Amino acid sequence: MTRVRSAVGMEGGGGLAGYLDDLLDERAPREAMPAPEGSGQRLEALVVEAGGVGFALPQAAVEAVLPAPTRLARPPRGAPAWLLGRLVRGGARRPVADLAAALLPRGRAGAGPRPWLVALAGRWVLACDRVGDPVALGRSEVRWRRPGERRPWLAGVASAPPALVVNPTRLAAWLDAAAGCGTEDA
Amino acid sequence: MRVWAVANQKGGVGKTTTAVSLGALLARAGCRTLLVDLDPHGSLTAYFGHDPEATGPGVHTLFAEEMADARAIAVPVAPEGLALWRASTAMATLERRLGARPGMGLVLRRALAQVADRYEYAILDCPPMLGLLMVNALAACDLLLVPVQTEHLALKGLERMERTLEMVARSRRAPLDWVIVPTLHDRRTRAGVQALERLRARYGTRVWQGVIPVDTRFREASRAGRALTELAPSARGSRAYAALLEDLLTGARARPRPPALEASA
Ligand SMILES: Nc1ncnc2c1ncn2[C@@H]1O[C@H](COP(=O)(O)OP(=O)(O)OP(=O)(O)O)[C@@H](O)[C@H]1O
Ligand SMILES: [Mg+2]
Repeated sequence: MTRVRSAVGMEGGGGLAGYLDDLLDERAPREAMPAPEGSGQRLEALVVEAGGVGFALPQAAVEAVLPAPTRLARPPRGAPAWLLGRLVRGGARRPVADLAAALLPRGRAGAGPRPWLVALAGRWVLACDRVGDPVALGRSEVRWRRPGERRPWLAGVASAPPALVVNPTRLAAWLDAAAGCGTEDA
Repeated sequence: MRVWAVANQKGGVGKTTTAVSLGALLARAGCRTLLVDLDPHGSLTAYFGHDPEATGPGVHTLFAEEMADARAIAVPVAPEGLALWRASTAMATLERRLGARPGMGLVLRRALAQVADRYEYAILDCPPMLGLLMVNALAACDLLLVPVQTEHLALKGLERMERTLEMVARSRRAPLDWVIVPTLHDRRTRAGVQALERLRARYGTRVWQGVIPVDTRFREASRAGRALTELAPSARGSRAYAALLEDLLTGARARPRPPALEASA
């Protein structure tokens, strides 16, 4: 990596003021990072299995992989069945979702127990059946998909290994919405 | 929580050393302190024995994840009371990926707000270039420390930094308080003494009244992965940073311009 004195498109006269005004715009919505662009790029991902389906989670969004504890703090009353409970981690109570039950069509998920937990950077922890080794998915090996209304968390489908590629930001937002407001830290 | 940023568009002037030293001193003084590594090179991260190539949670998480929980990314470092938000080399492409998206300059300020009740101080170590990460630091800080090496070309780089600060202050719609910290000062050389004089003549009360001297033990401390103030509290460099901290905390950071200089100017 080489050091450059100033970053792209920023210095040199009047452009800087506009650049700063934009960056420091309080009203701008907070957007997530787009999927990697360009043909040569690879996506480092952790492939986990839940309900017989592979899910590729971008490695950058994975905080930790842990064996599931025998007991979790109870989910709030009225929570959906896929919300397994809450895990106390780093002083915070983090909601745990049964990945298969939350994302797969009814009847496809199979019964637990899901022995592994994958904590995403952020709030959510995902329970799954198996955790594979990290893989580097070639961009061309993934059929990318525009964010849809039905499965906004689905970024694309990888062929080798076969897996649904998850957009972690949209997954978290989708889980938040689907779980209702009962999952906030107590 | 008070937020201090350490920045200068010039490289190798002692930014990371300043962040480590002040952080360790604050923690020793019983203040819970968060160090934030905003440099994709990860020198501060590596200083404490963490690998910037690793993909654990850290500053990158805050930018990559809309829902990032800032409370879950700190790792403890020594001495007790000090915590670190790590940098990763992945941060090097943030600028390209996120470009100048509106509002991206406020990510760090919002993240720090999430942990405001956990720390008394946060110290932000910036990369030596103006870009998304430095702008985030400048938007988030209450006070900016600008380490300036007292050498020949010091003033030149500082003028550029000064222009940047004026523009950021305008864009963030709040004044930006900053203080120049003369670093790597060698009072045995004429160039060093002259540079310091010029700095004080030009910037007056913006310049901290003391200096951080050249002290070879900083390199030794860096190799040991500890702050020099921990390894050798009575080393010259350690005492200088202790004096700086004291002045920053008491607000007695500048001294009146020496009259002799004004007369000769
Ligand atoms: N007062 C000092 N006396 C002697 N050596 C010093 C002093 N301050 C810093 N150094 C050494 O100088 C080098 C550069 O310091 P440092 O990494 O703190 O600078 P920086 O401004 O953060 O650099 P960069 O722009 O690359 O991030 C390091 O090897 C450090 O140990
Ligand atoms: Mg540095």
